[in-house]
Amino acid sequence: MTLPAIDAQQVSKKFVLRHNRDASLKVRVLGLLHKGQREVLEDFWAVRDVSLSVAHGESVALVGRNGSGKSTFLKLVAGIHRPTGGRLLVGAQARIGSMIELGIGFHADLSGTENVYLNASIHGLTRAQIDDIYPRVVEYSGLGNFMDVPIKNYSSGMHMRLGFAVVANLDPDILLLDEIFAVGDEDFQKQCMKTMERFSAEGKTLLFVSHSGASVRAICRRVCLLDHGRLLFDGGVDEGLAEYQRLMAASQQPEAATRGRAAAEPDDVGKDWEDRTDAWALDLLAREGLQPHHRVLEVTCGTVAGSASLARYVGPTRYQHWEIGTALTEPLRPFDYLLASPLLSRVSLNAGVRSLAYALRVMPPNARIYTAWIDHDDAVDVGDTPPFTYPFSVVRAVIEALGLRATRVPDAKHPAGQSLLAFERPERP
Amino acid sequence: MAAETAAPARARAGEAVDAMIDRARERDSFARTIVAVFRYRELLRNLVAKDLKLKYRGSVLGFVWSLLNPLLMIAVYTVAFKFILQMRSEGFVFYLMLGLLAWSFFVNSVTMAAGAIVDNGALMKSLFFPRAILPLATVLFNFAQYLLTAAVFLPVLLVLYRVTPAAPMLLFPVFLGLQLLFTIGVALMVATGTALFRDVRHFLEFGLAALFWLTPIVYPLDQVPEGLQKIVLLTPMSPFIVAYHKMFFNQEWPGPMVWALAVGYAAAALAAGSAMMLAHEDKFSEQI
Repeated sequence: MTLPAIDAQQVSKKFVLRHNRDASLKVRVLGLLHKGQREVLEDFWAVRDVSLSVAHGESVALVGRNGSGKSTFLKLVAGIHRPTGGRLLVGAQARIGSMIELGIGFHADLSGTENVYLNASIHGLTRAQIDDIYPRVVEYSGLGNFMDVPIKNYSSGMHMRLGFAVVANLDPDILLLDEIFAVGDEDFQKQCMKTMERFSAEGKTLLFVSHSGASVRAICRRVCLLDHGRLLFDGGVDEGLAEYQRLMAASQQPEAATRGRAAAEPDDVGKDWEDRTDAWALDLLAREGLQPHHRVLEVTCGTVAGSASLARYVGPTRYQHWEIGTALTEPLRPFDYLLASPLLSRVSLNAGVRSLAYALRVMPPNARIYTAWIDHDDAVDVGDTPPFTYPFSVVRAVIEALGLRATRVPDAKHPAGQSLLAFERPERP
Repeated sequence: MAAETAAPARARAGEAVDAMIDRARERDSFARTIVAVFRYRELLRNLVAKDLKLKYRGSVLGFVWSLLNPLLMIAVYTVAFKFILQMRSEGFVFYLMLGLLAWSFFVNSVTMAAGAIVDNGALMKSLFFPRAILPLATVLFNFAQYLLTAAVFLPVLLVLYRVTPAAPMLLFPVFLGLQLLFTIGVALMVATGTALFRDVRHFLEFGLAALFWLTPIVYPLDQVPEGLQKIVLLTPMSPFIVAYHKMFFNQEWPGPMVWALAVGYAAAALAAGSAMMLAHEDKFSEQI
């Protein structure tokens, strides 16, 4: 058995955002007198329950939107931040080279040579080791003629080139790179790419953040998609990048997906739901402001399993799945969100309400239920045979009889073309 | 280098984990910091060298200034005290300079150390290295200058004031070392303190000025009213300065009280400084 190079088990990182803080005693003292002056602490989970294991010699790309926790995860691996929870194992002897930001640790008034020595020593190299790599660094950077010039006279391109040249020649076992493809000219990017290919060929472990699909495809066979600090996808490059695109699309134009809803037939709807629900549900929860402690109950109809990516996103301990009409393997746990995708489109109101009544028993006062629903205000037939079509007035009356309030959710359509209903307790603010 | 080679074939779960460290649980200790600082000694060396180089870069006389400055200071103080204030006391400038040199090393180190962490936020956020290196480097940079000046100064003063070398002067390196440890301790405290509360910097301006006058630098300890002498001797920098006065100015051995205080303060400052640093260093990258 070989140990992985990096082994993250349910790793979380919480930052405390200090509103109103200027790190002074004044704030503390005034805070005793005035509530408004007090610093307000807000927990922010930059990384939540991320489990992923990187084998030696593997190259993994971290993708995700801005603020999804990619850089924070790199910093956790590098040892810059300490994880709040979980286990994050790295080889005790492994040399970790990191390039979180280019050119950090350079001093403008020092010459190129002096900066190479300073920078390499920040990475923990000894004098002898630096002497050893120095010629290679110079050659790699192509700045041989400028090494005795203070780097304040360098262009930003030369600056980056020198920074990367140092990191590329550190000969680390694990290399962490944060979006180096976003900067530099084409030559520089080509050189980066070549270096990374060389690294993987040499069997080094590579963990990098990138927004560039092309470079991800060129370098690695595995993509991890992060969103709101959670690991949404972990697998092949094509699927991973497709997931990422879907996520981007969903967040940019939630209404675009609803086109052609009139044409949607109930049967298609059911299938579509399963196909498209993942990204959509994740986006809905993100919009709702899903908190790390929130629990989600997913109710499905006609699928054996719930959505894997939803489970991963919410976290295994806070996610529960229930297929309508099947016996529960464990009692329903209280939830903050219930996503009942097919409740009113694939089962009769009768069956839907029966399940709902069951879930109501564990529904906390603040919880909310979302269900997709085909809007049939003109429907007169409220029979229990498919296609199930109910006017909103009927649904509302039944839901109110259960002691809940039913509302249509504006601007939140399911990609399959259905409207969305929210049920909540009347006293919920 | 690779953890792989260290990974034992005897792959029982517990042992396997031993070859890896858990980022969530690794905790720094005093001993581990010492080891880490030693591992990063090249960084420490480079940081000190950087400051020394940058200090004189672009000036014509360069590092000659380090030697020239004290000489000019002797001239200024001699004019001020001997001719303007008409002070009778023989060798007053000698006495004054002994204290002043040691004091400036302390004050410059502590003032610089206040910014050692907070002014290096970007470094802290993107690279991993032992955080204690930064305040340590500021102290060593000032220490290097102190040694340089002392090396020029002391012989000049001894010749100027016709003092014959005496045995107690051999203790100079010992108290130099104690003062260095004490200063490192205070620097760690101040660097960490400033990271937690920026107020520390502002307080330092006042605090160090107050401390200056509570330390026998411009006045001899025996001129202080009887009741206050104990208090003045107890202020943190006094034992070191008094020791220098004793060995060079009076050519006597420092008394047991001076020894006890110097050793005690050095140990206490180092312990408190390291404890503060260890308790907060893993938050620097987030809070700065």
